[in-house]
Amino acid sequence: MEEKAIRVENVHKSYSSTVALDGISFEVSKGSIHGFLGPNGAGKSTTMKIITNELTLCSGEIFVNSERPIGFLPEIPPLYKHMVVEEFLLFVKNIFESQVDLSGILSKCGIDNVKGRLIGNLSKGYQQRVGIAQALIVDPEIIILDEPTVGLDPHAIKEIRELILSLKNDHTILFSTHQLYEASNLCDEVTIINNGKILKTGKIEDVKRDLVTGEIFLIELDTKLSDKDCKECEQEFNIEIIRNEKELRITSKGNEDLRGKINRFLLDRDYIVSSLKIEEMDLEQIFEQVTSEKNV
Amino acid sequence: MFNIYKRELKEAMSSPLFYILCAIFIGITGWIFYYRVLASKEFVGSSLTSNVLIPLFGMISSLFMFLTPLLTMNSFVEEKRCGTLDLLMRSKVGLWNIIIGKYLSHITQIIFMLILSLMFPMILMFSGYSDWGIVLSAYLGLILNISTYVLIGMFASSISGNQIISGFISFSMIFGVLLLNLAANSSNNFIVGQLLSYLNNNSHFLHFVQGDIRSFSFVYFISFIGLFMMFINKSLNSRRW
Repeated sequence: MEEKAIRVENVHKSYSSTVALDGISFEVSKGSIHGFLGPNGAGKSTTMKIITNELTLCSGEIFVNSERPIGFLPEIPPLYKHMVVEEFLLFVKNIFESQVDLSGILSKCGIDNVKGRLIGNLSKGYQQRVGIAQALIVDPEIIILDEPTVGLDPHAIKEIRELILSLKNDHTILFSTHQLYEASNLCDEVTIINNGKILKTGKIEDVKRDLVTGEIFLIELDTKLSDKDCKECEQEFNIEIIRNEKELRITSKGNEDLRGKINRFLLDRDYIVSSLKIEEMDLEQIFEQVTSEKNV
Repeated sequence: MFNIYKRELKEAMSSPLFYILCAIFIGITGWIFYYRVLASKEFVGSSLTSNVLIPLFGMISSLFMFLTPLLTMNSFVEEKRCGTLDLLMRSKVGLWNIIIGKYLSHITQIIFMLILSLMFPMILMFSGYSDWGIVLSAYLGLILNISTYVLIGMFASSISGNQIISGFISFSMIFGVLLLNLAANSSNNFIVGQLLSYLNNNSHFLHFVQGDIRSFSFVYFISFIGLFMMFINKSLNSRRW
């Protein structure tokens, strides 16, 4: 059985009358990058703050399988803007009584060249790197990053993603995002949360397999599909068709493979199908589907 | 704790606010001292202590009612805004050490300002003044009295999310404690009057200024410091709820 770094069991958290977390449970495997997905206000930050002991929970249990402190980068990096980068990291190192090598962290995070500069004078991308460095300087086994790429330019986002990937070898990483492209590319495991409830958790392939009901076909015709035929086809096969000139984007709702039947339907009505291919549903579509279903 | 103290002090000493407050403090106390020395010529048969130093120390204490909220209003507000308070609270330092580190940093700044005011008794020394016991006792009283203002300011900063509001709450609370003196004087009931007088920091401070150090005043100041440190601890801990 795979060793777990974090186990969250039936955790409830309420702020006066607002329920932030409604009995959430999930596990983070040791050595994995675990994506924590959800829209704004879903409960991602609250969960992370509870794991790092910044917030108390109302009920439930959290197991953290590590003797070392957790490295945590909150949504707003905790930085003293009037301090010099190196001095700040040294301060964090001292208050966490860490023995880690400061120069190693500086070069790992790519902030060697700005170590003598005031944090307040750095760009947002560099401030985020210093934020990640303060999470690493505590010598953690587990790192929690709350939306580490939010508000950064595309170049900085790419660099931060590469940095996260480079940390994978020595650490377990739990990071929240609502950029699903990011999660699909970086994560081994995902947990989808909405309105304080876990919608799905597990290995990324398993989550995709479990949640994908139906398929998406892309069909190209020789002529434009008429309104009458479109309506007929939708009713007959219980599908949804989006037309774009001669192209059709068909979403089936069941598990039955309808490719042959739809092809026959179109040929019977004198359409020539010049191409038919299946589009794999990505995490973004799954996420949209799952969160909208649960919201209803 | 030393890490927190060192960082806080370094930040305060690199801020222009501290030097502006020092300038305001020394400007006002210098003017009061000059005025009291000139006025002392009018009084015959009374000492420099009662004519110059006691009013001067009283004025310094009153001045810190306004200066301390300005020094302490940012204690926790900025840390909360930047998220660094949560970083400190997650660290191995512990909440008590965070509070004590910040408190000692503020007290060090105040001692620095009080050292500047030592020049006034020293000027008197050149004119033959030698009652240093009263001067030392008054400075001890000032440090203890201003400590209560510092802790009130830190508490206000711990419960507020805005530094202006924090400064206002702090000043209101300091003024509230001062009003206990008026309430004590106007009370018809002896016991209530005594109780209110005991709760007012100014009445204890006056003992120190007159060179009359009482053990119950120490108990008062230490209790006040302990109580407000506990309030700050509870206030910061409530962030985790």
